[in-house]
Order: sequence, then structure tokens, then C-alpha cells
Amino acid sequence: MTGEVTRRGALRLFSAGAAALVAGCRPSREAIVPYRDMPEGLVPGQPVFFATSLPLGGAGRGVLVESHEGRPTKIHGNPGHPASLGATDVFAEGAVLDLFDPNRSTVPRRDGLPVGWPALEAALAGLEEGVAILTGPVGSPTLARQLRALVDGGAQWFMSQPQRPALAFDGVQLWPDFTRAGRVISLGADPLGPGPGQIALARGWTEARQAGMRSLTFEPQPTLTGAASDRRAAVKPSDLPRVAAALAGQTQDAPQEALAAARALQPGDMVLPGPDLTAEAQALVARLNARLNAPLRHLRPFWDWDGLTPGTPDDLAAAMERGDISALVVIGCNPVYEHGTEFADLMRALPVSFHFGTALDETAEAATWHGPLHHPLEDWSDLRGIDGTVGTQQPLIAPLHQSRSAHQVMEMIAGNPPGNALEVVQATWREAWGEDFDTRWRRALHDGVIDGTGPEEIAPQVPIATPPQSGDGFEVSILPSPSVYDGSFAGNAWLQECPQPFTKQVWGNAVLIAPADAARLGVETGDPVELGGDETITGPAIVSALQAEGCVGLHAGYGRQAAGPIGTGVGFRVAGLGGRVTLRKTGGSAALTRTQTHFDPKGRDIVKTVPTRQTQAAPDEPDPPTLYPDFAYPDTAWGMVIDTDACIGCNACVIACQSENNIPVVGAEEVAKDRNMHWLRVDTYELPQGGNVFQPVPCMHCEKAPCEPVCPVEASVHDSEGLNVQVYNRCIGTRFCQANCPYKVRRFNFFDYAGGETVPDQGSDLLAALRNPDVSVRARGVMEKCTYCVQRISSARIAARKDGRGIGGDEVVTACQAACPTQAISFGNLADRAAAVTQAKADARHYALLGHLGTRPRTTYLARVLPENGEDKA
Amino acid sequence: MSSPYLPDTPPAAITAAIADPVLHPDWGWRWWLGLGVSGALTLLMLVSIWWLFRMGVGVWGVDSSNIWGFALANYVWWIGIGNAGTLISALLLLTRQRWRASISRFAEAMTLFAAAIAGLMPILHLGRPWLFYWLAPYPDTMGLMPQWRSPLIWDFFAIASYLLFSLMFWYTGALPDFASLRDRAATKGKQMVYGTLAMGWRNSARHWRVWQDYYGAMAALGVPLVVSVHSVVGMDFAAGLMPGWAETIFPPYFVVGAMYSGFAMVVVLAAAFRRALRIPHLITDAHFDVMARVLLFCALVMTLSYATEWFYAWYSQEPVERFLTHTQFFGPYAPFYWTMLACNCLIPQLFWLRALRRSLPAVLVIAVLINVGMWLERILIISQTLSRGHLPSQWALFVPTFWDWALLAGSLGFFSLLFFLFIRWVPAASIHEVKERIHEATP
Repeated sequence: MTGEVTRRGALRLFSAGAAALVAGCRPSREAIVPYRDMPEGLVPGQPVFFATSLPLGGAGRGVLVESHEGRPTKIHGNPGHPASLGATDVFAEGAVLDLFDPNRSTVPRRDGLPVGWPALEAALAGLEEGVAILTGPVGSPTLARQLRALVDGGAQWFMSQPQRPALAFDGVQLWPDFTRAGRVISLGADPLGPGPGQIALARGWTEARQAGMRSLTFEPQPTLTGAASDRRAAVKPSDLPRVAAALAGQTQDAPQEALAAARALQPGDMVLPGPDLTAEAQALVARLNARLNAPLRHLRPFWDWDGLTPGTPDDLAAAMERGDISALVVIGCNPVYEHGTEFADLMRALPVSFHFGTALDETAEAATWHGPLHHPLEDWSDLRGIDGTVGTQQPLIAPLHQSRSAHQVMEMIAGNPPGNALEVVQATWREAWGEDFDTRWRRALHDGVIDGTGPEEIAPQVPIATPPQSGDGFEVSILPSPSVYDGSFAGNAWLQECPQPFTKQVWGNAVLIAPADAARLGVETGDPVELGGDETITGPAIVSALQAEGCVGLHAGYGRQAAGPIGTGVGFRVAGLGGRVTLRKTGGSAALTRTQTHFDPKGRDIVKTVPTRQTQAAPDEPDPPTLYPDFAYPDTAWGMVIDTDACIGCNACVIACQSENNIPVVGAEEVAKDRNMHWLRVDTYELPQGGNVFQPVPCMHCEKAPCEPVCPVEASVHDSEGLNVQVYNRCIGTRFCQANCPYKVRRFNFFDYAGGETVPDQGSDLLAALRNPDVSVRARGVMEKCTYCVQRISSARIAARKDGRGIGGDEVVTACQAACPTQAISFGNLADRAAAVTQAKADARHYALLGHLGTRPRTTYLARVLPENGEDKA
Repeated sequence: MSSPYLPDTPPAAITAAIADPVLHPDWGWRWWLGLGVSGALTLLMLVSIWWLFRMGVGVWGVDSSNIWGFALANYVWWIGIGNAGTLISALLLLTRQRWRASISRFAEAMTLFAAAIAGLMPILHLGRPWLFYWLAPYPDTMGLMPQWRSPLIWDFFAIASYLLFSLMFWYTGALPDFASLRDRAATKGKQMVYGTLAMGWRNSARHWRVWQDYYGAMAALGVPLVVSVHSVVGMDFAAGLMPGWAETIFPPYFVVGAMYSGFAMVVVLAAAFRRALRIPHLITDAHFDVMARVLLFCALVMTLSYATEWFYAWYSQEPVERFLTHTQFFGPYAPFYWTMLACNCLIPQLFWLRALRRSLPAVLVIAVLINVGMWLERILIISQTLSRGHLPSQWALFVPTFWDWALLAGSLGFFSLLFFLFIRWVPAASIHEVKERIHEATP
């Protein structure tokens, strides 16, 4: 076995997966049967959708997976799942790429050499006293049941959680109900930031905001929550307790915003504590919330199970040093990356160690044995969402490699035969449901959500957090990366190339420094700086006005040493840096690759803000004259409206578009040359009055499109429904269209990007399996751009014609629109007065980007609502 | 003898002076060295084209914002150089500027070579160059036609007709001289080749009458063609809506710019030929004087054009246009812009001095600087606009790569290679025309 997967091999597996799935939703290790009789419900060329759950930091988000002839190609949100509500995040969208990642672990190994599962089984069965099991946060009731059995049998369980979800603390998950909050004040908490709660919290936030919720954020470095707030103040972590005290009315020695906010506090307002608050400050905030009767629920964290108390990785390291551990089994986490190479030394000193994971990561390298785990899209399981709702996880495809389920691994540790993951999971629910099992199981699989599960409220308690260390030097603020989270997505090229919301950096992380500090130290954006703390690291600096003075802002998840050709050596690792660092400018250069470098709108009318939602509609300026006659659209004219007030800048639309439209990654070098291929980008501008506006920019599908008349071969043309379409076959690559596009939304294939010419392994045959069969793959030398998901329009048209009706005004949902957690994007038929998009166009906040050029864009925007001084006039 | 542009020699000596280098070559090591260097650069061009076709246009510095780069700047520059030959031949012929006689031949050859190189650039520039013929209206099985509204289509026709015209005009002008060579050729091979090229020219009065009617008519056709070809090049930009491009002044401004760079190149070539062929009596100081005056005039028109651009940027009150003008002077490319202004506007003012107009080194240096300045102007028109477009989020700087420079240097080498071969095989000046002028001047 070479680890290579041939095209034929992959196809064989896909057909096997398809046959097994449609035949009865069982993972196929059984006979592979061709379609002698077409399975019921399967139409070749028509995708089928299955509900499942995908973990992020251990917590599940419900998704619907689109499968073409047994190949999962696209992740959609599951409207019935409370942690998805029909939307997705970047990590969910990227999951299909991880599934087909050519760099996944394919076979069990001992000391790096391939072995069979029987050998590994025998090694596990031979374990005696002193077994330690290390997992990530466990969200699966079945896994918890299996763990409980193992712990009862004498094993010790430890849990590594490198990134806590927002508002999660030891023993409690705070769950805000924004819609009932009058004002939300965040003290370094980032509910809208990347994490398993992002989608649900962002939806709640936006709905509340539209209903009049006010918001104010104090934070050390820019977060999506800060950007989405009416007002934000950059405050270093050690000052946050003072802000809390000011809000509680205990001090006047705090920033002006805090004092003003304290005066304006009313019942129903809510203060969100962040992880940087001291114990006293946490207590203060808890009392304040209780006094305000804040709509903040205390839930059981998703990883908290009755009768199971995990040790921490520090406990484990201490036990290993003491020699209490005879064997370590690591399942689905990467402690060597998370806790440093000392952990690897400790592992190597053990008599035997095991690692089970989807990739050969740092921990796999340190372990004696490695066993490949199924990707979540190949596995049976059940997963708690962040709010406690349990969703089902079912395989979309038969395992591509010789991998096994974590549930099977648990059985093997217990000395049982590995069995079948489905049966293990079913056993959990059979126990719970008894007689009703068959009907309830079927319904759970269909819905993706197990009814009867949900949020479990616990007695209010004061969150415990680790306060920042005091001392000299710069304070350190570390957030999970919005692109690779805790580093577990570092091998995913889509996510590596997904721009950070504020700095637009890709393929790496940076050190954010406040302008005043930068001026003092003579540091400019792009200079390499050295941070000296418990460890010394070097990375490129970015000077940002959003960063608090006296504090550096960092993103975790980078600096992986064994993340395949994509993730290895990208950026620098920040874990272990400590709470205080010295900062020094060093010589040389550091890679800083960004998709946007100018954030000042230069006084141009690009992003609009209004002080109140109930603003007066500006009189429509007449369109500039044109020589060309207008087109007529009797029935259908597509259009899009993007609400920049709802957009939180999370990038879900960007990756959804990439997944839907077969958009290739180009690699760091090509992005550095400004050649990224994203059809949809999110521009961000720093407003002169403070604050950020995100502006997603797909193709504008101009009614008077500047790209159309300049193409010498008519490759850029207008269609009968108003779309501005690009005919790839006809394009010869003069690039006049992009030269003349004022929005610069067109993307050119300078190289054979789709063939993976510029990124390692991206041309792999295996990756061809995840392509959307309804979208052409573009060749070198042709121009491409956003199509308004024309393939979705086509399938809606076909469906409508079959039924002998017109396409509904809101029937077509574009990929970006579907992914958006805050429903900022509306798309539909402008000829339909009832369509949401038509109504959005009538909003008083409506404006066209660069409308004065006479392009008459079909994609238009709603202005951001930014109350002056963060206060309502009313 | 009264004309400052003509030698005091009998007609037979003229024929000998021009024809002998072709028929009885005495090319020293200088010719071989020049040929070698030009050949090496041509090879560089071929290698860069091979690499381009193999890898794609990504080998250049072009990017999503700076979607156009050197290839189109080179194109505009070369087509500009290709402008002057026809202008000298046709416009000066029609306006009876007698001094054109001794420079018209190589100026026409320059047009031909430069236009050919220029025509190559837009094809190399394509993402899928092998499909360039889709610009032509041929009977496609799908019934597809080019898109007539696109300036690139206008461009395609403008270049194609200009190239054909230049070739025919140059050949017609050389026809009597090929006959002279045929008559003087010593070997059978040369007699055959030049005899074929001479198409049976017998120097009869009827031949001359037909020839003169035809040549005059061609010249009358050529002048509007020269103006149109460069107007269309200007419209490649002016038809867009990017700041700095959408300007109605572009067509005339491009025509004058083309004439400017073309004349500057003629000056460089004239100096080279005068030296190489040892014919200072044919290309005289007076020739340089008059060409320097043309350059001075062009410099003034160019300065006026630039000033008009600045004025309209201010007058339009369009913030994007005003910002772009500010960026030209103080932005990232400002050093190049200042250099361009110095080369195109300031330095040619030295031609107000008669002594400098008649100083060969001075004229040569200034002419080279004008060509540098005009090339900078072309690349700046493209890069300044594209790097600072409507949306600041998309601002990015254009940085050329090795292959960008390789194609530019290689095309210069190819141009000079063609000239080294030209003086080897074709009479470098118009023998019959010089003789005619001498005859006219002799009382």
C-alpha cells in the first residue's frame, strides 16, 4: 500500500458508497452491487441530501450534505438544527475538502511503517493497568457512554480543549438571548467569532439588532463581535476588569465609553464576560447580570457528562512524568501541537502510545502506533451541539481509506471486537428509547436532530477563567484563527486561503500592534517582529488601529509542523507564549500575504452608513444616460441585495461559493501576486468615524455591464434574465473585461489553477471527486466570475417547467445566501413584487456601489446602521 | 547645388554609395557583433515566448487588478514607432518635403518591422493565444461573429490593414531600386532574386508614370490610416470607464505620441545608418535639424496633452480622477512619471538651440530619452489606472517579472536583427528618389 489513491480506486469506492447509501444508509463493507435495479428515489444527475452533524471543537453543527452519485460535494446548513438554523460557517463548508484531502492518513502504522488493523487491535488488547485516554472535548453521547465504561474499567480520561467556544467556561456555557436584550456590552467575549456557537449567536444577534438592540464591545483585538457592535473600544486585557467595575458602578477610573455605558444601563441589558476577566470581575459581572435580569441562560457545556470528569492535559503530563501511565491512547486530538514538543518527549518515554486521527499529525509522529480515523462524513455518531441539542451523524460515503470509527477504537481499547459504529451508536439510543427505537431512529436520521434533546439549564454559577498574568511588557491576546480555528483545519487549502476578516491575511498569522506602539518601536506593517515570552516566536507585524495599545493580538492555529503539504510551516505557533511578552523588531523579512491592503475608503462613496434604521429614503438619482437600448424582462430578472448591516464578515459565503463553484485555491505565492480566485470577496473598510464595515462583493451583474461591450469575441454576454454571463469556451483571455470592470470582480486563470499547478496536491485525482458536476472547471487562460449560481437557477427552472409554473421569486437560493448565518443576502426575481429581494431594494438604506458610473448593478447594498456615538437619537 | 539635404555628387555615385554595401559587402566585425547581439536577444524573445506558451500569462507580473501589463504597453509603444515611417513617407511625400528622400526607405522598413512586432504583442498577451483568429470574422460553424462594439476588434482590423498597407507601400517604393540592384548584380543568384523583386521594371517613362500615380495614391491612403490606427489604439483605453482612461483626448493624443516616438526612433536609426554606411553626404546635419524640429513640436503637443489631462481631472470635480492625477505626481509610480515628464516634455526643449539640433550626439541622446519616456508613458497609462482603480480594496501594485523584461528586451533585439539583415539585402535609402531630387536641384 503506497498511500496513493488511483482514480480507478477512488471511483470504485464512490460507486460502492453510492450503492450502499441509497440501498439503506449503511456503511458498506459488504458486497458492492451495481445498479441492476435503480434504487428508489435516486435519479442520476440529481443530487440527494442527507442530514448529519459536523464537529467543531467537539460540538456539532447540523448540516445537510449534497451528494452526487455517492460523492459528497457540498455542505448546506440544516434548518432544523439549532446550531445551524440552515446556515453554515467556513469550517463546515471546508469539511468536504478535508474528506477528500489526499494527505489523509490511509493505513494503520507502527513507528511510521504501515501495518494492518489486526496488529493494532492486538496491541490495544494487550494493554494492562495504567491506560490513559486523551480526547478532545467529547460531544457524543455514545462516545461518552463508551468512555464511562472504560473509566469504570480503570482507565483514566483526560481532555484537551485548546479553544473554548465563546461564552464557555469551566462547568458553564452562557447562552444569551439577544432578542430580549436592550443593550449588550461585551467585555472581551466574542460570541460572533469563529466557533460552534457562531451561527446561532450571529443569527440571534442580527435579529435582535434589527429589532433595536444596542451593542458596545470592549476588546483587546478586533473581533467580529466588535465590528458588528454599534461601538467598540480597544482595551487591553488587564483593563477589562476595570471596565467591569465601572459598569458595576464601583469605579470612575475607566474609559469614557465604560462610564457612559454604566450610566445608561437598564434592566434587560446584558454584560458578556470574556475569558480575560479576573475571578472578581467575573463575580462582579455575574452579579450585575443578575441585577439587570439579563436574558442570559446558564447551560450545561456540551462536553460535560454526568459521572465523567476528565483530567487536564497538565494532569496527564504530570502523571506521565511520575510514571503513573503505562500506555496513552490519543483519540482525535493533537496534544503535541497544542501543548508543545515536551509532550512528544513524554509520549516517547512511555512504553507504548497510540494515536487515532484522520491525519498523520505531530502526535501521530510521536506515537508508537497510529490508526486512521474516519472523517465525520464517513462515520456514524451522535453529537451534542453547543446548546445541548444532539444531532445524528451518518456516513455520506463508504470510508475512502482503511480508517475506523472512534467508537470502534473505544471498543478495541475495552478489549472487545471493533464491531460496527452504527450498532454502537444505535445501542446508546436503543437504551434510551426502548420500544420506540425503530421509528425514532429513522426520524432522527432524516431530521439530523434527535428530538427530546436540547438545552439543559443548570444553576447559575460564576464562570471561572484564567486571568492574564501581570508583569512587564506587552499583554497578549490570543483568539482562535477565523480560518483554521485551533489548527485542526491547517491542512485545508480553502481555509488557509480564506482571508482574516480584518487584516485580510491568508496563509499565515501575524502580530497585531497598535499604531502608537508601532510608532514607538519603529515597526511598520510587514516588518518581522520577535515576541519574547515563555517561548520566543517571530512573525510579521500588522499595525492596526483596531488593536489596543500595550497589547499584541495573535491568532492561534498556525505553525503546524506536520499538517501535510498545505499546512506545514504556515505561520507561527502562539501556544506557550505566556501572558506577557517583549516585542522587538528583527531584521530580515516575514511572509505577509494579504488580499486587501488599503482599508481607507478615501472619501469615496463606497460604503454607506446611516444613523438610524428608520432613515428617510434618499431620492433615487436618475441613472446616467446610455446609448444602448434597455433590455426587456417580462418574467424574470435576477437581482441580489446584501445588507451590510447584517453582515458580520465571517467568510462563510466565500467558502460556500468556493465549494459550490469549483473555485481553485492558488497558493500563498499567487495570492501575494494578487491573483486569488474567490468569486465573492468580503471587502472591509475602516470608517473615518471609527468602526468597520464589511462589504461582500460578488459580481454586480450590471445591467449596463462595462465588461460586455469590450470583449472582442462576445464571451461576456447578457442573458435573457438579466445575468451577465461568461462563456468560458469562447473566452480567449484578452482580459479587457476585467480591465474595464470598476468592481474588479472577475478572476483570471493565469495558470492552470484548477489542475493544482500552484498548490501541492491540489491537482490530485481524489480531489476531482468533490467537484460540483453542475459547474464547469475552468481552464488556463480564461476569465471567470460569479454567476449568481446559474446552475441553481437552471435546476429551479427545470423543476418549474416540469410543474408548468414560473420560478418563484424566492425559489432560487445562491450558495452565499444559503451559507450566511445572518441572512444578509437576499436573492430573487426582481420582476416579482413579493420577492424578498424586491422588497429589500425598496428599503430606505438601499444603495448601489459606484452607481454614478451608470453600470446599473443588479447586486446592490443596504447601508450599515451606525448610531452616532453609539446612542439612539430617540 | 542649393539643397542642404543633398550631396554634391553625380547620380552614378549615389547608386554606388547605396547599392554597393548590398552587392559588394564589406561588413567588418561590427556588423557581425551587432548581428550576434541582436540574434542573442532574439533568442531570448523566443525563449520567453516558449515559456509563456508553456506556463501561461502568469509568468508575467500581471494580476487581478493589474490585469494588463508590459505586453500591451509594448504593443502601444511599438505601434507608435511603426507610425513614423509611413508618416515620413506618405505625409511628407504629399506635402512635398524633399528632405525625406534619403531617410524614407529605412523609415518605412522601421514601420514594417515595428508594426509586425506590435502585432505580435496582443497575441502573446492573450490567455489562449492559439485562438487569436477568433477576432477575425470568418464563417464559423456556430455562426459566431466577433463583437463589433469592442475596441479590440477595431484594433485588430486597424493593425491588420496597417501592416498590409505598410508592406505594400514599402515594396512599391523600393521597386525601382530593386531594378537598380538587378542591373548591378554580379552573380546569377542575385540577378535572379533582385530581378524577381523588380517585377520587370524597365525604367520606361510609362512605368514611371504608373508608378508615380500608384505611389501617390497609396500615400494619400496612408495618411488617414496612420491617424486611424493610433486613434483606435487610444480608444482601447478611452472606451473604458476606468479613471484616467475614459478621456476623449486619447485618440489625437495617441496619434501625436506615436509620431513623437516614431520620429525619435528614425533619428536613432538615421544616426546609425549614417555611421554604418558612411553616407554623411546623404543623411546630413540638416536632416537632423529638421527632424529635431519635428520632435520639438511633438514635445510641445505632448506637454499640452498632459496639461489638458490635468486640467480636466481638476475641472471634472470627479474625486477618482483627481485622486489619480495626484497619484501620478506623488504616488508609488511618481518617480517614473517625473522621469517621463522630463524625457517627453523638458529635455526636448533643448532643441530650441540650433547648435544642439545639428549636434549628432545631442540629437541621438535626446531621441533615445524620448523613446524611454514614451515607453514609460505607455506602461504608466496602464499601470497607474489599474493599480488605483475605483475600489481601494482592490489596489495593488504592478511588479514586472524577469519574463516581462525578457520580452521587451527580446523584441528590441528582434527589431535590430531585422535591421541588420535589412541593410545587408535592401538598399537602405531610396536611390531613385535621391537621384531625382539631385536632378531637380541641378539647374
